[in-house]
Amino acid sequence: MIKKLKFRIGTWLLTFFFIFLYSCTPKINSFTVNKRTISANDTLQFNWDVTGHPTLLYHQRNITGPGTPDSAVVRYLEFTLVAQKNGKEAKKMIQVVTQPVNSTDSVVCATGLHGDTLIASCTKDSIRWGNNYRVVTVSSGSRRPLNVSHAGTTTLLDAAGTPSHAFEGTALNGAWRMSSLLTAAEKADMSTAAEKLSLIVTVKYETQ
Amino acid sequence: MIDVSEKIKTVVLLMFENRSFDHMLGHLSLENINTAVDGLKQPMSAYDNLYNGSSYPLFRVEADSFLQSDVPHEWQYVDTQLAKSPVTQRYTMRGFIEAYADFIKDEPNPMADPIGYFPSHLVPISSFLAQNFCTCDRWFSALPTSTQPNRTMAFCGDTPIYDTKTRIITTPSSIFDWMNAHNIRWRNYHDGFSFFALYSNLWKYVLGNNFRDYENLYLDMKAPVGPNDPQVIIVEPTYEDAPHIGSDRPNDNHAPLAIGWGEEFLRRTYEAVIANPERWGNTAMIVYYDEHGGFYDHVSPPSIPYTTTGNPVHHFDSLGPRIPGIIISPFTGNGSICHNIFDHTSVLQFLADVFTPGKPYSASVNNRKNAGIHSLSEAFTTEHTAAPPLPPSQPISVVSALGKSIAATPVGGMKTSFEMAANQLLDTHPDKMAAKYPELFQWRDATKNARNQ
Repeated sequence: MIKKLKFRIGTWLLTFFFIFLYSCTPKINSFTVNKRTISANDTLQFNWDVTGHPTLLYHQRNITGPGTPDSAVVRYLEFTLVAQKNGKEAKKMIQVVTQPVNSTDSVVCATGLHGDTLIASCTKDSIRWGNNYRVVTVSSGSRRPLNVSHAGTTTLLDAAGTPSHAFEGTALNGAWRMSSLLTAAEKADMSTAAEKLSLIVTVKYETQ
Repeated sequence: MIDVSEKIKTVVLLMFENRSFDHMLGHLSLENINTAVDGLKQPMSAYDNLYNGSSYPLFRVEADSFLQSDVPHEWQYVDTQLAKSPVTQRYTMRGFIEAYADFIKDEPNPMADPIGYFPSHLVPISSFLAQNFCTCDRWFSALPTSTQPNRTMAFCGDTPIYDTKTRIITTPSSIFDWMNAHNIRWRNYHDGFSFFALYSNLWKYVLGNNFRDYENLYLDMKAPVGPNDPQVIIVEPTYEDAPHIGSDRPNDNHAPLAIGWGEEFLRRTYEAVIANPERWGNTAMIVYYDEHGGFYDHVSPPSIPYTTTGNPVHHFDSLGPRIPGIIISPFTGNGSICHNIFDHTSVLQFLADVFTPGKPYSASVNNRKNAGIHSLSEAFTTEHTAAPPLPPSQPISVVSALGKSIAATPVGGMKTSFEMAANQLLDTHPDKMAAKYPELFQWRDATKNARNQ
């Protein structure tokens, strides 16, 4: 009983000690934004929970380079939350991408194999894309025919990349599923099989 | 290939922490400095990582500053990073963002730290050495996991452990035991608390006369060549994870550190290595990293398996991602590239080639050799008699640095292990520690006070 009591007292003291330590230093417990991709006249909503005095810093940088949509300049808005307390600071940065009202994006998913069919499924998340981007057209980005399902609709895209309006008006975010038969060459040498499948999606930003 | 046992008299080993090949030296090919290097090349979209249906293209780091946090590199995360395709059975190397998202428990930024790469001007010393000596573009970390197992492989040739956590490590034998057994003279220069303090059976060395403060390196190397000079010199930077006090500043390149301080340490070490032309004439300096640290690299590691020697055993199917490896010597080509498959045990093979020719380092290292891992000796193909090039003298600047607080208790296995080793050594060997690491007494008192405030 005494041993138990001692243990409890020790545990409480240790707990208070860590609570005390915790309260001495600045900490960013959470720092979130409602979307990571925006367009003109959009609004961002930030939420944060910090220990210490918070300051939100803003910085914009323009990046040109391969891999960016249309190889155009991409504007990154960088929001850095700094928490200060007792002469110390903690910080965390969130990048938000700005896109034109009409832009092009891709859906890219890693493949798995089901029989002689490549399957690629993934989910575009709403944190990055919000709910404002609506699909206009979808085409195959893998130079092969793709059977595509999204938002309750399924369609077949040709290898030539002809744009389809089958998903027009649906949200860009959400689950996407692509499937494609293995080619004869892939069947003969599986090391040449596609490790990812992709779609080229034209999107339009719509204010809700 | 030259006879290294005849030509090489001094070997200098400098192992940094946690950066990948593409992250540090991928610019060599991208900037057309040396297009034969298997670094980054256009189109850069070939290196896109995948996460939640989106592509994450690599980006050029614009300024050298502290990162947001450490980057994941424990074995579970490395497994995600390698992203083995169930279709081709190939490591696609597309999972670095997925691992990072899992690590930070948040949506990653489009320009997330693991997929940044340095241009040459931000890593001027590494780039200079790669351009003037031999770049190894097939040097993989020994295991697809973290610091403790990879460093144990590097300096013991085997490892009983497969992950990094709070522990004092015990290994049956080490490079120091091997060197002593073969009468190879050696010395360690540490710029702070030595990593080898994490191995209890190495404390006798850590506290011995062969472990010297880094500040002695330059004069020791510059001194006239003598018959009792060390043949193997292990140089250690100041570790980000180790205890610090005062102006002591980490320079081991471990994230979230900026890279500039490590570059400065590399410059100083190279300056020491070339300080005496006579010694330089028979020297090989090896610059390498313990593992990739969670930073992107595009080359799939070879499927060379390894089973750890401890209990429980852990089986790895492949080597880890590539690390930057540079071999600096009058016997390596000017801007040459070695494409042979190396890992950290290639250094042990090389040491055996130099100092015990015809006799392998150990059975385990020899097994790895038979599995396809080459000796560094194969990079020594030429002989230069010209004076070594002087390093760039430009100032190396770091944009910003958040001060670290000694008030914070350590977080993570490595930091806690270092503190545990420091405290145990201070308790059990106070006199020797006072001679070797006097700053740690102040560190212990200061942290104790700060944490009790």
